[in-house]
Amino acid sequence: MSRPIPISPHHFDLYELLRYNREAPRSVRSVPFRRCLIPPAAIINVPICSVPTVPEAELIPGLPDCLALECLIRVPFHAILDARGVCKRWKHELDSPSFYRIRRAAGLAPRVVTLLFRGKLPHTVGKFHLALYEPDTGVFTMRQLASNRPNFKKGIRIHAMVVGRELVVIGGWDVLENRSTAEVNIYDLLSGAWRPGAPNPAPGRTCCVYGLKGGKVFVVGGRVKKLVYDVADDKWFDRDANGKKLRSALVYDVAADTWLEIPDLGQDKCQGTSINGSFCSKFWQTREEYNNAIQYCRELLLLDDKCYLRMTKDGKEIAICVRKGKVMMEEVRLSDDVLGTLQQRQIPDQAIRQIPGQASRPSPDQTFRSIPGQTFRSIPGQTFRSIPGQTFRSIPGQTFRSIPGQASKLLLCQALRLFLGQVSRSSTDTEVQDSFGRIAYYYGRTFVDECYSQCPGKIIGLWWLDKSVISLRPGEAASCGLTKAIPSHKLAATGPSGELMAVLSMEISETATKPSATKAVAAEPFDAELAAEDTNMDTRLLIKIKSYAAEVPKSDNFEPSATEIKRFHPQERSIRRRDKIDSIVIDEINSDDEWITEKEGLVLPVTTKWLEDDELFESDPIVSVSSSTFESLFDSDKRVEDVEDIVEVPPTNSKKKVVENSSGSKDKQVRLSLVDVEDDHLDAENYGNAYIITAVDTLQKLWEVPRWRQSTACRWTRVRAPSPSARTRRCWRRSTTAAYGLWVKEPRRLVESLSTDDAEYLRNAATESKKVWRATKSQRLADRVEPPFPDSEAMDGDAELRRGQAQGLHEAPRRIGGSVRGWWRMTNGSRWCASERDRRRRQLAAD
Amino acid sequence: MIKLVSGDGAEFEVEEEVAFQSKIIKDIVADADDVIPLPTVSSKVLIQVIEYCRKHAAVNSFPLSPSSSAAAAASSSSSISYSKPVSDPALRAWDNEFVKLNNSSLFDIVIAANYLDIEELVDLVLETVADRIKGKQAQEIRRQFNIENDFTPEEEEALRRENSWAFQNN
Repeated sequence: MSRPIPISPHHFDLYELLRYNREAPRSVRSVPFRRCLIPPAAIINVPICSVPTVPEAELIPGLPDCLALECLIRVPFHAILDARGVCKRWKHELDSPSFYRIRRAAGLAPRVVTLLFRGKLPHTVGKFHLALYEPDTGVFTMRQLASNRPNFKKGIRIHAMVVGRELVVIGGWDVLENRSTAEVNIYDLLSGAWRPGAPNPAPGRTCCVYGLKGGKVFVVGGRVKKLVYDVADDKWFDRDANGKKLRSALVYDVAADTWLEIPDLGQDKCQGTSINGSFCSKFWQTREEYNNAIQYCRELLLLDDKCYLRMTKDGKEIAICVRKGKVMMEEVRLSDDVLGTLQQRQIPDQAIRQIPGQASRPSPDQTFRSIPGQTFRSIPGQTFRSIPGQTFRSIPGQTFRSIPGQASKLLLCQALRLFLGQVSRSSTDTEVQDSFGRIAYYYGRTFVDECYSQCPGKIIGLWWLDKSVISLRPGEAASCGLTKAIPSHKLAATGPSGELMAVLSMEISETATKPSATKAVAAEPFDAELAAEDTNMDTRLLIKIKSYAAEVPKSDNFEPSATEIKRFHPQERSIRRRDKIDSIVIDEINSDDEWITEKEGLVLPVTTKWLEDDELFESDPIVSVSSSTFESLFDSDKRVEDVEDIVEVPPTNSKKKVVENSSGSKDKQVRLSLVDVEDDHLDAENYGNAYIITAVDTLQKLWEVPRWRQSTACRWTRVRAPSPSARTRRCWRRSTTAAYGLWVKEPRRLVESLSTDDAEYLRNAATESKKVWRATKSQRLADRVEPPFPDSEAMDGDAELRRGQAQGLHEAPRRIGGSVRGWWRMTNGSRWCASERDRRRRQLAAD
Repeated sequence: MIKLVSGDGAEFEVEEEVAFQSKIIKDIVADADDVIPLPTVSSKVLIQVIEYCRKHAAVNSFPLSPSSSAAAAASSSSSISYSKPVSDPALRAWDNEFVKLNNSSLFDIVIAANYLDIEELVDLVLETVADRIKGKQAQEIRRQFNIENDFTPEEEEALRRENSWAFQNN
């Protein structure tokens, strides 16, 4: 599991405080202008070069300058940035370091917490914002950073920290080169100017720990991937999936703009650094402060769920991590001890290597890696047409109605907002407040752990299966993160055991005449296929729209016009060049009823011939079982609880089923059977596995016994190395996303609260009935669900869930057995399908 | 009683505790007579200052609870606290009414208060002025304080770009 980007709320130590005692300069006070207390030291300390000619105008006409200056130092920080624009004299005064020294000395510089994050709304998407939060006054302001830095376009893997008055941004992802950039950019928080820093000598380091101490940025430990060139196979591959552990540390001295390397730090220092004594408690003194900060963030920019927030029981220590660079608050995991040791360490002269400030040239492996990586990033999940037979099937009485015409995603957001209004009204303020800090929602695997540990009983939400999320929580205004216009949004809610409660899929129609038409199609519960209906978009259009969304300047509703779409034609060409890749995706929601959606890439013909390619499956077959298979296996209720049989489905069988499935005729028989269940069936023992999370509690009216459940949607992507003929170079790549569901006892209520006058897209027969409903098939494949990761820190999860975690961990491999070993291995983080790798190794051995 | 003489010759008789709100008067009275000329302060301003001092003297003469007064003393001696919040809500409300003046009157008062070394009044007025700066665009600040804009349009545009707050205009 790749670590989330360490993020930290960083105390904004704008200016080093010049020690200035008010008693000391009493002698310099003159009686009439008592308040003229610019300390002599402050003046002396101003570097000479930074003193331009002082404009002669009065600061404030009618007021002596000393008093006017005192006015200015009382202006809060966020107002200073406006005040700089008043006149030259003000700008000069407000830019001078002495001003801030006086401000600090007078005790008028409150703590400011900076947050760096990326916006989620259409007009802010992808753009970095800097938010300043003053905990003392509760003022929250933000501004958009000039995004003229290349790595800010795609700001993942950024490490940002505040040193002095500057924000040091290290790293980032270079989209064009598809590798971590070595750039170091330094942003002056006051003037808003960027300046480049010395490039990071080792940009390829991953998993390293970033720390800040004494104006120096420490990059400790980490790993470096070693790629080995395989002559026989003519390709590079990872020798070690995790890379080599490094024991060295890099130190970036911000003031001197140099990188130093500490070669050998010792094993103990680099591993197992902890958060203990971390800055968190220093920054957030109370839970309210923290809550407020996050709340402001979320409300203003509508951050989505890719972040997870942690808070220990005492409410003090907080680590805020955000994946994919949405909220950039550095989490300093280094303890003070370690950093202290680092600083005091007597480094022998010969051990220090001054690293030249040039960016290291990309090594061949990096360039090679950029090819597959690029294709994964840009294409999967967005380039596929549905195979006939995989489209939504309407089951009488259970289909959702399509949203007519122009219903946009924002309309849905508004509906959810309304709903949230109801939710938050139904719980008291204290509950709302209390739940806020602990409620977090997560994308991907993290969610489960955190949800266990942090918010037992306090979460409510609907997740998009796709990248974008609409989440519902009590105690917070609607948070609807719409990342990009990923064309098919699927809103899925699954039941307590993973059955699909509602799937809402939204499509952006591709026609230029109606570019904004958004169609929401919903699958009934338990409809196995979740595929786009009538998706006529091809790769180019999809990517165009995606890039459009990233560029939408300022519009509240996402309605791309035809002309705007046309602007992205240049990108179309560049995409075409990468079209050498076969992409086949099997979406596999690994829930109880496992279903597979195959979507066909543009490049491949509409045939399933590739599925018979035995070589792909020969060693460790990937069990990809269609829902029809399960249907036949588990028609009778008595076998519902039986897990063993499912996973032992022979691979050949499964493949055939897949083929049949993709041909599309057999699945017509799949029906959802809703069975009324008694309440006691919903007890925990019925779902005694790791993936049940008791959730909402304050919302008894709405959700009686809702439960969260994780399921994993994994996506197989078949890629082919650039030379098109060799079949052996096909590789599989699996990417997982997780789907979480909310089981609703009375779906009707959900629909009611979500409905506006005309929004009926959530209704179906089940929701119209007042019965508790639930799909028959449940929890069969529960153990195949990817277990929570062992290294996740469950801070205060309840015992049952931990037990479940343990069960999931230990039982899943055993039950799954050898047939899905490849799958299993890959879920643990290796990049390529184990079966493929093993096959290759065996081949090499045989040779 | 202490007699204050304003710049335009008017005489004001005030009680000692009122006059001693000003530290400088307190210092002067300690080693001089009871008639204090204040040549730089006009009558109009002095009336307002005396009004303020009278109000505050009346409130401050009530003995505070020992703990809070001790704490106040400790805090005032140990740390630099410019903005001592006035504890009494009624007094604070009165203060807020008191500073509802135009800028030039405020400036006159703060100059006089600074001259007389009435710390609380200086703080009060400066806070008020800072509040009037806060939350305003540069243009508004200029208009309010009658400051000339000496930026060229290009410079102004550059500044505005730098400081564009994301949600300012919404």
